[in-house]
Amino acid sequence: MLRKLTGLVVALALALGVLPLAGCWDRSELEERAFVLALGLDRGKGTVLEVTMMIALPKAMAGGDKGGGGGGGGGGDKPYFLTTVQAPTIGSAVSLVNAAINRRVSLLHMKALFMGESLARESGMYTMDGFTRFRQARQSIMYVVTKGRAADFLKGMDPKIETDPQRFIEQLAYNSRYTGMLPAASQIHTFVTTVSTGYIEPVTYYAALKEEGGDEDATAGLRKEVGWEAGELPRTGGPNIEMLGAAAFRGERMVGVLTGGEIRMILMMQDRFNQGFFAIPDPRQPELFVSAELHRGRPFRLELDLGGDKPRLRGLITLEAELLATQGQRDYTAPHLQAELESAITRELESRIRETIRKTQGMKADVIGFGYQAVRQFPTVRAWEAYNWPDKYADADVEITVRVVMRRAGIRLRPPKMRD
Amino acid sequence: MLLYRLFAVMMPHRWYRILRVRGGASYTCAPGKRLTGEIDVNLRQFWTQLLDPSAGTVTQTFSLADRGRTPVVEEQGPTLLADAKLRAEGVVTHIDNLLAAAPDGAKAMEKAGDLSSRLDENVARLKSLFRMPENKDLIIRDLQIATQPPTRAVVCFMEGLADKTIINDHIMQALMLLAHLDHHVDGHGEHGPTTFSIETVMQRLLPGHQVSEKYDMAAISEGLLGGDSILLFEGQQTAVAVETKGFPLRSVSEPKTEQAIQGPKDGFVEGFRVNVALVRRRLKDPRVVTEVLKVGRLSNNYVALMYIDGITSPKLIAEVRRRVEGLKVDVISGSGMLEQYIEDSPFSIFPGMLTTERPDRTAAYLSEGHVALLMDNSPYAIIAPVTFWSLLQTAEDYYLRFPFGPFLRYIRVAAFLLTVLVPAMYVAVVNYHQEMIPTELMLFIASSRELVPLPTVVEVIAMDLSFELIREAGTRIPSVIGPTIGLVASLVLGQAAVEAKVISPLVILIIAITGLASFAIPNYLAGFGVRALRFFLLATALVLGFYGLAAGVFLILIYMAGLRSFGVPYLAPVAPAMGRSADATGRPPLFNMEMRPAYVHPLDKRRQEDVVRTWDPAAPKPPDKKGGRS
Amino acid sequence: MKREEGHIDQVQGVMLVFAVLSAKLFAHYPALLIEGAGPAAWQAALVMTLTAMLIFLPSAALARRFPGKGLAEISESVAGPWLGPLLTLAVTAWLFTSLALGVRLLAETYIGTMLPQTPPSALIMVLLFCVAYASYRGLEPLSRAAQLIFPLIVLVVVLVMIFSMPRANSARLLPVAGFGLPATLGTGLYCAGMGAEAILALAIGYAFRSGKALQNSVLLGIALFGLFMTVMAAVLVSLFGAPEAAQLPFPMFNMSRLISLGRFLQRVEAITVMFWFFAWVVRLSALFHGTVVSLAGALQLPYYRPLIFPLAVLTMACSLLPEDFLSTMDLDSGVLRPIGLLVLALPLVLLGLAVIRRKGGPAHAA
Repeated sequence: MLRKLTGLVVALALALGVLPLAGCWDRSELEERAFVLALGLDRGKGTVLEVTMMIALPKAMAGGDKGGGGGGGGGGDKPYFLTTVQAPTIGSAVSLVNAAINRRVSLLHMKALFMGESLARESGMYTMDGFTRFRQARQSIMYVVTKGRAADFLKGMDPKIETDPQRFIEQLAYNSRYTGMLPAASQIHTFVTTVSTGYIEPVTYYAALKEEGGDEDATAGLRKEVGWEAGELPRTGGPNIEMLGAAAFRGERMVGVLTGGEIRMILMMQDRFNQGFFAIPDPRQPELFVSAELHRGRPFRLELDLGGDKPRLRGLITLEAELLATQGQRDYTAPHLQAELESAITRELESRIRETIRKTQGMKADVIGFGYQAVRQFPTVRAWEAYNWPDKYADADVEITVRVVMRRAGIRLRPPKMRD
Repeated sequence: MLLYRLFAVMMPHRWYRILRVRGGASYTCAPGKRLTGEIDVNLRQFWTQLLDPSAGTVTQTFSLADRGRTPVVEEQGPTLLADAKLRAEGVVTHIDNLLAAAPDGAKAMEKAGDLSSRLDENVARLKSLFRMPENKDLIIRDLQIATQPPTRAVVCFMEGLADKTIINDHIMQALMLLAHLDHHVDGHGEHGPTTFSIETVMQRLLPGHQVSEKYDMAAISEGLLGGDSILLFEGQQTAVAVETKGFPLRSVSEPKTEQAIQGPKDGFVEGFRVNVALVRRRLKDPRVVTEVLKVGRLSNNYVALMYIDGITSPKLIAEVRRRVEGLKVDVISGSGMLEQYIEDSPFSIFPGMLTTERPDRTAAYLSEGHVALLMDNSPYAIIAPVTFWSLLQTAEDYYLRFPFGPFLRYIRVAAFLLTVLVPAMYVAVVNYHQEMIPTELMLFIASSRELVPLPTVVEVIAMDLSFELIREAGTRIPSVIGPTIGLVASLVLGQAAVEAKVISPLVILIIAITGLASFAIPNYLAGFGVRALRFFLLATALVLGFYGLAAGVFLILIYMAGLRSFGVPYLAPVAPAMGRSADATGRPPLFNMEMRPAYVHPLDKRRQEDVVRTWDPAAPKPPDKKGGRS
Repeated sequence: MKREEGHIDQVQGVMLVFAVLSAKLFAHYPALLIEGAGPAAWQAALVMTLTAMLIFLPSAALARRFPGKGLAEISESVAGPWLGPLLTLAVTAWLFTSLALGVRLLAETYIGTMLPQTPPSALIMVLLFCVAYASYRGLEPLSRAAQLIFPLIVLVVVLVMIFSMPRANSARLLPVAGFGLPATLGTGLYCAGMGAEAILALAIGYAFRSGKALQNSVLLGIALFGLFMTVMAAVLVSLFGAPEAAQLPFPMFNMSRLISLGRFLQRVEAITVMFWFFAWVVRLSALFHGTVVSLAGALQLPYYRPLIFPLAVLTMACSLLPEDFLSTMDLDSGVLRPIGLLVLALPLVLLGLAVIRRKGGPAHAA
């Protein structure tokens, strides 16, 4: 029995032994690869792309090595380096970079895609097929539009608080949960899905490097609270990266920039707004402000009437407020003054929302997502597409009401006595 | 030719009818027999056979070599001659005795063996059978039994195997000194001294607890080698055997391989009578049966087959008995050897029978309907049939309370998976699927690997092999420094390897986890199988990443699913799903396990009432029993 | 002999049929549904399930009429010694084509997603070795292994769907009627050919203890498969939107790439891919075994094992016939599925013949 089996076993071993002998085709060691952490896209010379790659330096990333004693390997503090090439596609860019690096460039760990604003406005995300088709690129890559050229952004980026750029990038977006100043999601996946389905226009993160100096014109809008665009924040010191607000797209092309305040309103209407600090001008003393933290209340309710030639939308946002601080002596914890405060908040929010909506209608981009509600009234896809909501939205008659209920007032009752 | 061999292996045995032995003779065999020698394929007969399976057979010729008998060498001549002479004498005497007893009927013929009525002749034959005077182990003691008239008798026993105190006190003293105290009452009511007869000796003179009559030399020698004392009497063709076993035996101590923290700590020893006793203490039921079989022509080792009549399936018992009795070997010295002879698939990676050192476990398995084989000179019990899940169970699972007993089992299942999969997954992920590692960890590994000259798989294999080396060395070192060496070696080796930049630190961690997990598997034999599997999966993962790993796992799964242990599928009761036994990987509360596991096909399926804790107010009400058992 | 094969009970039968059909969840079939019916793909999946169950009814009736017999035996006894084997050969050829295309599909899936540089023949060779070994061991070990793995696979699929839910938006399932009711019905009917591999159960019919067991196994298997397909279609549309989801050749892969819970549970698609392999290899082993057994029955061979090795080699050769992945997909969905509907009509023919010629036990004999 064993003798017969030997022949069979030998035959099978030879047949299958071909596999390891011929070579493990996909096997590669980690140190044979150069991992790209972030990619920057700009318009290069002519119609060609300018691709900037941020490639990780593992040794520096690991914080030096035991065997090396203090102060990591050669030279720089940065655990990455940047390289820029001009190439018609990303694939050719990778080939060109491979000519200069001994390790094989791999996009497997790419976390973010930065696109310069000019490219975004001009051709938009016309490369998105590549990111969904190429197996190395994941659909969870963050998509960020930068003010100015992406290459400059990546070069000048200095997070200060983090040495690890990929961690910085990964966590950039997590703060939106608490401040509400960033869109709910801005990944290749959401971008491609929204563009292809057409119920809503995409928005992406919008980042900029702080320009030094030149903030005289900013004083005019100093009362804007967070209604600034990225790059124009009235601050100095700290990391030079600013990311708030969003870039609004129509289809795959960028059409405008939304400020931090506008994106907060939009999130409220999308039901993605969690909480945020608001500064409301005091109703009786317009020079002073009341600070409140607003939370999401009931879900956003929308009524659509698509009957006439213009769509009519009526919406209701319900929010809950917690009083954080008053500047002055007025005691907004008293019931009758509470109502006053609530209506002040309501008025302020409604005016901000009106401006936001007018801005989006001006851009002809329904970034808020009313389309999701509108589609319910159509039975088939053909009917929906025949209606052509994106164009109809620009002329729509939209009225959003806000209702605010003040629930809590912090851990204090009346404001302290002041002697002014 | 190779193709034909492939065909030949896949063909059923029936088709061997049309194969030819090289050298011209046609060879046929009945279905199921094994072939030796080279084979050819006769194509014409192949097709005729194919189209008409009832084609006739051809005559067979064979040689002694085919039958497995080795030819005789010259040096064996004198021994064979002497043995033959002895046997011939025995046969002649036997025939004589039979003829003499024939007129007395069948009963008398049964008692006619090959002993002669002359004591000296018997003793001489015994001496030559046992190769005396070279062999100093057989002791032959003449004595006179104090009956009227005194009878010459001889006590024989093997030095070292028989308890001399019993022989002195209870055989020789009783027969030589105390026999004359005995009286018999004859028909007239008169007292008189005892006359000799075998019956008198056995009933009135010999205070031994087990006495029996032996009629031939074979039985006498078996008795002697077992430790009995044999009494041969002048003028009698019957010998009396008295049980006087007294060989040195290890005392019952803690089991070496299966520890339980909360549970009994007695383990089997090398005497099967003691082992059977240990099991019987836990199952005090008259239905517990111990059959004693013997294996080995030379070793004549006793094997106790234990089962519970009324619970164990009779087919199982018959099968086990058939396999053990059918062995024609010289020596089987331990249960490990016996296991290999009677297993279903001796080439399988996993054991097909469970060996355990604990009597409580044996008793538990017996009560579920398994069969236990306890072999003399072996401190292990073999349990049959067994499934894969038994390899991951210990006795302790039952002695612990509800969530914690099963919890240990889950840990062990996880340990099994860990030890088999982790090295392969590490290699697959690091070499093929680099996108799976979190970026920080990936960069750390890349940076630590930059100075290491070896590819990942070589690192893993080197560390794994050195771990195995340390483990084996630790077992073989004299026990005083054994455990320390293992610890020190592994620590130092690992640390030194990392310092010398030969191995990256993560690999040390991986191998340490793997090694620890492999220690968590309770069954010693399964540990070997696990190691083989680990290397196999490592090889497949090396070649094709997760694809290869998945293929390897599937192959192992199919292999295990096809294994059978005494007819029971190896992966039962999980697959095929059999009955309500949830006892494989988890363990329901003891009071919920009402049925015996179905895969053993017990005759009595229920082992507990539905509601056992009737005093508990939270327990459900027992169902109404309308006669009979459900 | 087939009688050596042993039996499988109803649970194993369901598991086996479900395994054979649901490996499709991992391939491009949901995309097919979504392309034809848009956001209403889940309705098309329901239509498909019902149609497949309906189409299978003649086979069920046939199985109940001839309990304990496989397709080869039934067709031989019903249609005679010449026509019967021919019909069996037709089914065998269809099963074989499905097998070869499936092998190629799986290899291409892996090459496309995880192992870009490996030549297909290497993957196919390993796969066929596993499949042939499983068939060599027999039907019982295969169904036991399926019984062990499949709950895990189902668990993984469910978990992947659950964990990718944060990115789902149910509004993408609107408009409810998709491209309209005719499109939905049409897609559902066209894709009913997806359930055609259920005829495999008939091919190994001798392993079931009764015709009723076979019928229940297959109907339950198809129903379960349909349920999962419906849920999968709905989840895919709500995740990716109808136009994108229709372009996914490997939906599970893309879905698992999206999973990102906190910063910890990310990048798990390689594990999904491993379970994917399990699902497919069980399916292909069952198909292979059915092919081998039917072929042995059609050729009236007493044993099926000698056919394993040649058939494996043949499968490997045929699976390398299509030139590229896209044509494989097209062949599978465009050519194989409609023919599958025809193949399921074959039992109807056999049933008719059986009734006419009064063969086999009455319908309620099992």
